[in-house]
Amino acid sequence: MTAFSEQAATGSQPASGTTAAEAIEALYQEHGLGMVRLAVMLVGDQPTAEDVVQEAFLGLYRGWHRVRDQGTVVAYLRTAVINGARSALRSRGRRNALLIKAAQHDPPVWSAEAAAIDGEDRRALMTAVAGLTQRQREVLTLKYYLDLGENEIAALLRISRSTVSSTAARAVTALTRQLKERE
Amino acid sequence: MNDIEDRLRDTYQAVERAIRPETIRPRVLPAGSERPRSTRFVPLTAAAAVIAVIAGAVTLPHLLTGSPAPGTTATPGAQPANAGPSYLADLNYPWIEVRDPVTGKVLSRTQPPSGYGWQGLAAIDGGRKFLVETAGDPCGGDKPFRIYLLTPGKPAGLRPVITLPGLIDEFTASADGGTLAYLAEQCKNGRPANPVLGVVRNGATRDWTMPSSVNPGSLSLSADGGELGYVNFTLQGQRGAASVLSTSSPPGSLARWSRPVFVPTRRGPQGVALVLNADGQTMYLITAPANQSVAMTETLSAYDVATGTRLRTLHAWSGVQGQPVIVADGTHALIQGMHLTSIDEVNLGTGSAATFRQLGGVMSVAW
Repeated sequence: MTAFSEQAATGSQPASGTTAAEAIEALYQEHGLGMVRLAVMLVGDQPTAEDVVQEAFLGLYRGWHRVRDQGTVVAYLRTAVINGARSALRSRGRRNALLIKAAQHDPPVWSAEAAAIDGEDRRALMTAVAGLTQRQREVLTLKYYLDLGENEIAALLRISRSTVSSTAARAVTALTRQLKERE
Repeated sequence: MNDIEDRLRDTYQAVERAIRPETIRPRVLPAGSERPRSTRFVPLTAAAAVIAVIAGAVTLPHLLTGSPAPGTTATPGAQPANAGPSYLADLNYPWIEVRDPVTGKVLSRTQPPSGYGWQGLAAIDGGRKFLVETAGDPCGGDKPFRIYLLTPGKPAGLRPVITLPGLIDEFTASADGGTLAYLAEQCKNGRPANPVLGVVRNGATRDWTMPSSVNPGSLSLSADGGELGYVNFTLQGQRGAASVLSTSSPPGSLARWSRPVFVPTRRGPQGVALVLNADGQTMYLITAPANQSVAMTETLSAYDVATGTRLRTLHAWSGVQGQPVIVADGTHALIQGMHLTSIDEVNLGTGSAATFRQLGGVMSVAW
């Protein structure tokens, strides 16, 4: 029995007949790792990312009775993770939140200190990404990590498709400039 | 596909591989009764920094005519008398919403032209009109970035004003409607490149190049368009500095012609958003701690543009949500971002603050 299903008896009863906890457990098994990875891309460190994802699944659990179309659940979770990541970063600071290491947070996964990924070029690229605006980071992550289309990204971030396109283009230009100067 | 895009995919995959399933802590639902609560899954959009100052006496937009707006003056001290703005507008995707500034009631919703999406807005003419921007194809497409004039209450209240070259990231307008300032990336070899800060003033365009030490944001023009304030968000220069550029400066490097007003100390607060007073002589600047270990408090202060002297601290708050947006009419500032679901009002004379309107989920506001 897993952590989620232990609480199944107290969960609400969705239309499908399974308990909320069972449904959430199944969703977590299928999407939990992916959501943590998405959150890491946005907040930098794994413990914070796990907290963000925990809150996202808890939010889904609490609002399970309102879910009419389970086909939209993954989109709900992604939105909750993106919003949770924003909140986590706001509590640390503004645009530079990913660039400054504080004692209470692990270093970003891509930092040399974390020693989690190989290649100085990759670390430099992620450091440059961390310096972009929040919206640019989100668009790049959804586009180049999740491979979402512009319409999906627009719906998740509640911006227009053309804004997705222009934001991505400007972010790539900014990264190109920064990396050229570094090289 | 280019080199950076390939590298991004490769690097994201490397980061993904670094997060191994066995390292993730087990999730735990809270013990006890879990009665479903009314949880909303509606995302609250982080705000883009769009700032507009409204002068007391203003006239029609003259971006296309090439002639100065007749009778336009920058009111010293910008103390508009009685009348506040006529309308409040917000970008609530996919619409531009026009509201009654007193009641908050939505008076109209305007969709963008087919195939476009709204990206930004600015108020002119005492909040009676708005300039709204559609995002288009950055390079060479048949959908350029375009600014429209939105006149609430008019049957055909939306008409194109100007088409801007390249990829436009942010724009603002002077209260008299005679000057437009924007951040653009001009096209080179079919891709956006060469970032510039552009100004269209009385029909003439001028731009300044942006070295890597300058990455402006939070643009704000004085009422007559003569002065432009911005915050520098660069990683490689003076991050969080607030500067002013005379829009009559010769073209060239933005860094060369800008005058610093607020320069952060190494560990001190950084500028995050600003608005210029109508006369361009006072800057209202929001600062936030650079060090994340410090309690998250933001402060709104007034600075003398000529000397850089902090004139007074107006208001401080904690619990910020997103990049702040300020709009002001010279006596009051509305700040979006103090709290999650409200716009708050700060009296620029006394510094007192109160909730102006419950209004969550919108991207940016103009007043």
